[in-house]
Amino acid sequence: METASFALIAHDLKNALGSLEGELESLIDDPSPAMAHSAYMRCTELRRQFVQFLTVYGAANDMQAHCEDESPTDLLEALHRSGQIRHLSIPNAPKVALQAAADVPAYWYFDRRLVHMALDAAFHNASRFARQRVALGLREDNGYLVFTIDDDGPGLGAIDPSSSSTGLGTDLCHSVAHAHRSGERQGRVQLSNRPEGGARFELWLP
Amino acid sequence: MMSMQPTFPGIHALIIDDMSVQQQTLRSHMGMLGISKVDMASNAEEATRLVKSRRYGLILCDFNLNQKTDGQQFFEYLRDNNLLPPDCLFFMITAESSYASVASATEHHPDAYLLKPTTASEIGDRLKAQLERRDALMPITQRQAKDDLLGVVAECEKVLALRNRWFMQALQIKAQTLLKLGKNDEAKAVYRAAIEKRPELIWAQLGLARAHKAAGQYEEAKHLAQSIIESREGEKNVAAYDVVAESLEAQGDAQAAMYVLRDAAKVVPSARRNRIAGESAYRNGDLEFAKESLQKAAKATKGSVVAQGQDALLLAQTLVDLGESAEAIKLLQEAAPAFRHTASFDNIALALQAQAEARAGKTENAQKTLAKARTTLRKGKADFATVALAKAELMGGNLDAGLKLLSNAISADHENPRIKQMVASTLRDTGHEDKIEQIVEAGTAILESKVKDARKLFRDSQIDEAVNAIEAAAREYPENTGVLLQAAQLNCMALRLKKERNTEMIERVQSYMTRLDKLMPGHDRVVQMRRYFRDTMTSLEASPLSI
Repeated sequence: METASFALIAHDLKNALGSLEGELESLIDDPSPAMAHSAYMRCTELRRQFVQFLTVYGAANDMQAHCEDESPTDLLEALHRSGQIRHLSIPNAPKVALQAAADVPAYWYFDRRLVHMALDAAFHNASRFARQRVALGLREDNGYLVFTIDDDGPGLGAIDPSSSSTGLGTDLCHSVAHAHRSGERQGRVQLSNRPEGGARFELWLP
Repeated sequence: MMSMQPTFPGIHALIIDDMSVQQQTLRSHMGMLGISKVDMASNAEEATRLVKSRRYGLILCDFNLNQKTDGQQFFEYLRDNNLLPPDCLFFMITAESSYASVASATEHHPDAYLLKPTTASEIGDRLKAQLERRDALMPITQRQAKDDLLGVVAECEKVLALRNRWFMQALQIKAQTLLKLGKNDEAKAVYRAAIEKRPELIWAQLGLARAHKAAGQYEEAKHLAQSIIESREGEKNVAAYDVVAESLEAQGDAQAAMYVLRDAAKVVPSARRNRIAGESAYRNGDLEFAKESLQKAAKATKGSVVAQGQDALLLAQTLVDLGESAEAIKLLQEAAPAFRHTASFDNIALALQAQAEARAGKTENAQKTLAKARTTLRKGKADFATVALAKAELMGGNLDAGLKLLSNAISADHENPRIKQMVASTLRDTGHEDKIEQIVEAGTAILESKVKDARKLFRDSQIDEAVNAIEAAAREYPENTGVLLQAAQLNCMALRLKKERNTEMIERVQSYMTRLDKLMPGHDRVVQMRRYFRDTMTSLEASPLSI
C-alpha cells in the first residue's frame, strides 16, 4: 500500500480520535448518560476501524482465509441483529430488512470472521448513503454464495455524506473476497446501481 | 438492547485468563448471555484443579496464559488426559497476531477461536451455533462414546440424508470412522467425493493420504501428504508430516522419517513436536540434535502441568551419551520433584544416574546406584526403562546382566523396529557393536520360531494345538504386539473353521485387541485385525453358541 493512503487513513483516524477527545472533555463538565453513550459509540466505531486496518494491512503476507463450513443464514441474521440495534440506538440510522432467497445453501465454506468484518464494513457504507432503508440478502448463484447489501441512497458515484470514511472498508471487502479461493475460482466484490434506485453491494464467495 | 441476544442460563462457565481486567470483561459478557455461574482461573494449574472438580459446559481460555503454558497446550493437555467432558465447549481467545499461526498449525481445534477484542454477541453467536451442532450430532457422538463404529456410520448416514447445515461435519466423521473400521476403499471414496466438491479441503486430502497409508500404499500416501505440505493452506499441517514420516518408517527408512519429523518441528516449534523430533533423532544416533530438541521441549513446559517426565529422562540419557555426566545428574535432580508421582520416573532416573556415574569414573557410586535401580525392575520389557538399565549394567561391567536385559527387550516386542534401534545403539555406545546381530537376531528368532510353529500346526490342521501354542507365547510375552496379532488371528481362523461361537475364544481375542489398542494406538495393523475379527463375528452369526 502506498504511503499516501496510509497518511490519509491515519489522518482520518486522528480526526475521529479528536472528536472522541472533545466528547470526553465535555463529559467532565456535563456527565450525562447521553453524552457518555455518544462517546462510547464513537469509541466502538474507532476500534472497529483499527481492527479493519490491522486485518487489511497488519499481516506480513497476503490475507489468509481459514475456511470452515458455516451457516450463511446465521451470519446474515447476526448482521441483521446488529443493524437493528444500530437503528434503535443511533439517530438517523436506517431500518434494516432481511430478504434471503428461499433455497439458500445450508452450509458454505468461508472464513466467518473475515466475511463478517467485510459485510459489516459494507453495511456501514450502505447506511451512510441510505435514505431510510438497507436490505440484506443471500442467494446461491452459479456455484457462488452471494451476500447482497442494498441501500436506497443516490447510487454509485455519489459524494460521501460522512466525514469519517477512509476507504478502508472498500479495501477490506476486496481483500476478503480475494482471500477466498476454491480450485481455480476466487471471490470478488461487485457494485451496481439498482433499477429501482440506490446502490447494490455484492460479495461473491466460491 | 440485549433482549435480542439469545441467553444460556444453566451453563456453568470457566474463564481462564491471567489478566484480571480481561477476566472481569469476560464475566460481564457471560452476564449478558444469562450465564451467572462463572468460575475464574488465572493459570493452567488453577484451571486444571477446577476442571477436575466441577463439570463445566463452557471454558473460555486466553491463548497467552503465561510463560509456562499457552492455551493450545492446555487444551491439548485436557483433551489427551480425558479431562474435558464430551459436552463441554472450549473457546480459545487469541490476539489477531497469533491467530493465524495457531489455527493453521494445530490438528485439534477447540470449538471456536475468538479474536480480541471479543464481544458478548460474538460469544453468544458461537455458543448458539455450537450448541446446535452438539444437538444435531448427538446420536453420532453417543455411538462414538460406546465405541460402536458401525452405529456411528449408520447415524452419520441419517444426518447426511437430511442434507442440512451439518452435512460436511457428518461426512468428515463418517470417513474417519470408515478408516477406523479398516474400510479403506470406502473411506477413500468419501474423501474423493469431498475433494471433488472443494479441492482445497485439507481434512479430505489428509484423510485420503491416511487411507492410502492404511492400505499399505506408502508411495501414494507420501505423495498426497507432500502436496498438502506444499500448499499454502497446509504448509504448517504437522499431521501431513506425520503421514509422510509414518509411511517412511513403515518402508523401513527410519533415517528419512527423522528428517521429516525434524522439518515438522521447524514449522511448528511446539514442545510436542520438539519432543517427537528429539526422540527420533536420539533413536537414529543424532545426539546433538536430540539434545537441542529435547532441551527445547523441556524448557517450553518447565514447571507447567503439561510437562512430561520423559523429556527430562531422554535428555539425561542423551547427555550421558555425549559424555556430559555432570549435566545429566544435575538435570535429573532438578526434574525429580516435579515427577515424584509419575510411575517409573525414579527407576529410570536411577539407571541413568548409574550410567552417568560410571561414565564419570565414580565406579563405587555407580555400583551402589545400579543396585538400587535393579531392585525395581522385575522382567525386561520393550521400553526405555529396560534399555536404560541394560546400558547401566553394561557400563558397570556386568556384561551378562546387560545383554540379558537387551535380549528381553527384543523378545518382549520382536517386531518393533524402534526397540531394535534402541538396543543396537546401546550396544554400539558401550563398545559391543559386534554383539548387535547376535542379540537382535537371536531375540527375534526365538519369537519368530514360536509364531512359525503355531502357524505350521494350524496348516497341518492341528487347530487346538496351534491355538494352545500361540496362547502360551502370548502368556509368556504379554506385550509382544507381533505375538498378540498372531494370537488374535489364529483364534479368529479357528473360530471360522469350527463355525461355532466359542465365547471363551471370542473373549480372548477381545482381550488381545484391547491390549493391542493400548500398545499401538491407531496402528494400521491393529485396525486391519479389528476388521478381520469383526468379519469373523459376522460370519459366525448363524452358528451355534458354545462355551
